[in-house]
Amino acid sequence: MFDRDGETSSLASLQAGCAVEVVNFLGCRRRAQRLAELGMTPGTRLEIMRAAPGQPLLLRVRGAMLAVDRRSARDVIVRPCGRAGAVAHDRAGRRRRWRPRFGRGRRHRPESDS
Amino acid sequence: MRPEPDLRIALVGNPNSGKTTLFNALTGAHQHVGNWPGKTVERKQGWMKLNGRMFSVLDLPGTYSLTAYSEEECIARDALLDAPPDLVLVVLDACNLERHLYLGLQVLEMGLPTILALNMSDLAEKEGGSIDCQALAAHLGGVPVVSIAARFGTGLPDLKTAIERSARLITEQRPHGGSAFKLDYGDPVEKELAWLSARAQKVDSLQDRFDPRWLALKLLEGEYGVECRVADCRNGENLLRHAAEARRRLQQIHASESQLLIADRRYKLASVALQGVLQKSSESRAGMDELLDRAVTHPLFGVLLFLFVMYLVFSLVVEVSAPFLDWISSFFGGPLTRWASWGMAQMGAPEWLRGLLVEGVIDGVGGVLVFLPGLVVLFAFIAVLEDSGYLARAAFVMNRALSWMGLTGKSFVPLVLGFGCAVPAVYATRTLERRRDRILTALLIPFMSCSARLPVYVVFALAFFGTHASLVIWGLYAAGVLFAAGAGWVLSRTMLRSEESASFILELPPYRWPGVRDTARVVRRRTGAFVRNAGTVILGASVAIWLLLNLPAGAHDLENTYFGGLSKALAPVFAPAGFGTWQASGSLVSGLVAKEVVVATMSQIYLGEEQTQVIPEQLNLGDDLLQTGRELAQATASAAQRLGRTLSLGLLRGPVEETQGSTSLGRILPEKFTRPAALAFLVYVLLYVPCIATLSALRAEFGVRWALFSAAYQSLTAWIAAVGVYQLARLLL
Repeated sequence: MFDRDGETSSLASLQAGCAVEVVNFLGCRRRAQRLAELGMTPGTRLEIMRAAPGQPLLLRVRGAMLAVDRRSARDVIVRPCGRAGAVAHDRAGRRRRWRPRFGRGRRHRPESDS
Repeated sequence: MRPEPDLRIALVGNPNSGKTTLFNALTGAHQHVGNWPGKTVERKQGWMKLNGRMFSVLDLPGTYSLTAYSEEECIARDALLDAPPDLVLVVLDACNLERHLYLGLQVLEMGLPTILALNMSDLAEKEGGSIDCQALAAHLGGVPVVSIAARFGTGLPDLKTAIERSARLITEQRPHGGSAFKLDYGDPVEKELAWLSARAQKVDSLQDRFDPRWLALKLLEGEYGVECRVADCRNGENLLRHAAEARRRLQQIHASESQLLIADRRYKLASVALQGVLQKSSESRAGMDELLDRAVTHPLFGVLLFLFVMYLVFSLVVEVSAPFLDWISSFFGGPLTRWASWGMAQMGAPEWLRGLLVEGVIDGVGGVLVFLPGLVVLFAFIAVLEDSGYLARAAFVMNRALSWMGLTGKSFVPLVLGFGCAVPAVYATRTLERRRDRILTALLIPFMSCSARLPVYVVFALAFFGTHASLVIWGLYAAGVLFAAGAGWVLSRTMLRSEESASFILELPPYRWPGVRDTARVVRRRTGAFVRNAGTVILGASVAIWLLLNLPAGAHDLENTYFGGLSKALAPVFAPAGFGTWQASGSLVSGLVAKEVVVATMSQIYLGEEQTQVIPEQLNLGDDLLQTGRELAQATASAAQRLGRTLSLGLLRGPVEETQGSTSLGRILPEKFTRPAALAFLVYVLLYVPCIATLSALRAEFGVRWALFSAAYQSLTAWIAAVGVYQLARLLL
């Protein structure tokens, strides 16, 4: 799901613990508007709190918890928050491994102190 | 019904902003809720008096934005557009101000006189924030801003003063603070706004209804409701074409679409307005919430937890109601009947009138009122689950199961409400976005065993299955859910196929302790509706059935009455299910009025057969009252004991004394039904045609055809299931 310069990706392709920034929306106009009105305007920082397979994504947006189903999340284009390439370690190879998914991610990110 | 109010106020706010709490705090007991109880789904209006002036307060459904997305949000939008109130009170969650201010800005842009009430300021302060209301007001063109905590009544005097001041300004037709508020959307958008509003001014019929700039803004956003209203006007089509042009131009300049630009700009302004106003970071949400969410939304543990919560709720309902069931039933059957017969005899009333009162009214209505304690517990639980924020989490974890039948987790709340009463549940489907989802959810709701069916279960289960009663009842509830799942699976693959599932976008509100007073109010309202139903529909049905049972006059054998004739004609249909007697089929027919009536009718048929009424010679009121009081105390003690036992999950299981919660009807039933037949009968009651009130709700929401379809497919399912259960149980039991 990465575009040519490897920077932006789809929200649905990310794992719990990532922090990203909304870039743009694809697909249905009304749904994009609703997401924006719930606080996910372009440039907003999102934290992925939970991304279990088969479940909707659980996001923290402007201090609120938002559940977004995977199909809608696929149409949200995001880029890593802060330094470029921070979300480049994607699901491949990691997906099967169990790890606590909540909050821990913030500590994973190398740039969390910036 | 009420005096014409001097001023009409509307409450607007996000879901979970505490709007309903404020509504209750402002209007107190002076409320009128539309036909059906449900959480702000129906029209809720209240009245309040301030310094001799009468204000009407309308509680609009919660909405995130005036760009409506679901039918409920349309109700809120339409109320503001078509019958603009004199004053809008926007309720905002002070803990989540940035997001809630978004709606506040949209309302302010409408140009209606507005007051912003920052609710839950106590919680915001506890989290270490402080809000400078004056500074916020200054940012927003002088709109009155009041900080309140509706649940504790903090700040309400200030709010009332603000309302009064606004009312004065409005009646004197002086400018209200914030009315002239305009948001600056920046260059390209502003240019298009000016261009479009110049064109909007040319449409005469719109000019006196909407402010041209606001209209232009809504058209740039592509707001459907406004577009419809424009399209209805002369020259409206032209304006819509211009709007599309403007949107296209904007999209060429910016990479993103105009409605995103506008939403983005509003959020930017909200955060600018809050800079220096709000003394905290938005990250300070309590760690406790996060910890809870971690457990509750877990894909496996969350589902287990949910099943456990449901099990707890229903066992509590059964356990707590059983002792009271005994008490009320013995009161209706004992002292009350005695007093009534004695009174009638003293007045010299004819025999038939006495029969009507005792067998028709007291047996019929009493047989249903018996279940009040259990219902109070059930309603209280549903209200607590809803208000605490848990139900949204349950919707999140159940999303997967529901997506299996082409629905989303959002259908989950209406389905759970169906355990209380199907009628408000059908209305609650208005929170869903797509009509197809609404219809499918509404067709499944009647399978959720509503509280009216509980009386039938309790009587039968206690009579036939004794100590396993609560297991049988739980099993029935579970069977209902399974049938709903099956029906949903089939329907979503046949009649109600959809190419793609709807999007599931849901805010999980912060956890809140449910307010005792708000919960009590909801419980009172829902219980009140049940009692009113017992007093009207069920009373009427009981009298009608009594008449059918006793006419033609002189028919000594019940079988020869009109009722007997009708039921006998129907009875053979149920023979394969084991309850092909005219008594059973008759009570099922009467159950169409309301499911509780099944019990009422059975009491009339079976008890009327058995009892020979004795008119007491003398009435000993004192003794009767004493006895009744003593029994009530016993029942309460027993209920408390059972409550403790259930909550401790049987760990504290002392010497279990099973008070056989049996009614006089329950003692007779085992002679009339075999156990397999009783089970089949219960399954039939669980699944068969929804009551008339539900059918009429379905008709009102989706039309006659869907209501008829619902009735037909459910009776068929019920019959097949009952026959299956009977034949199977006969082999096993």
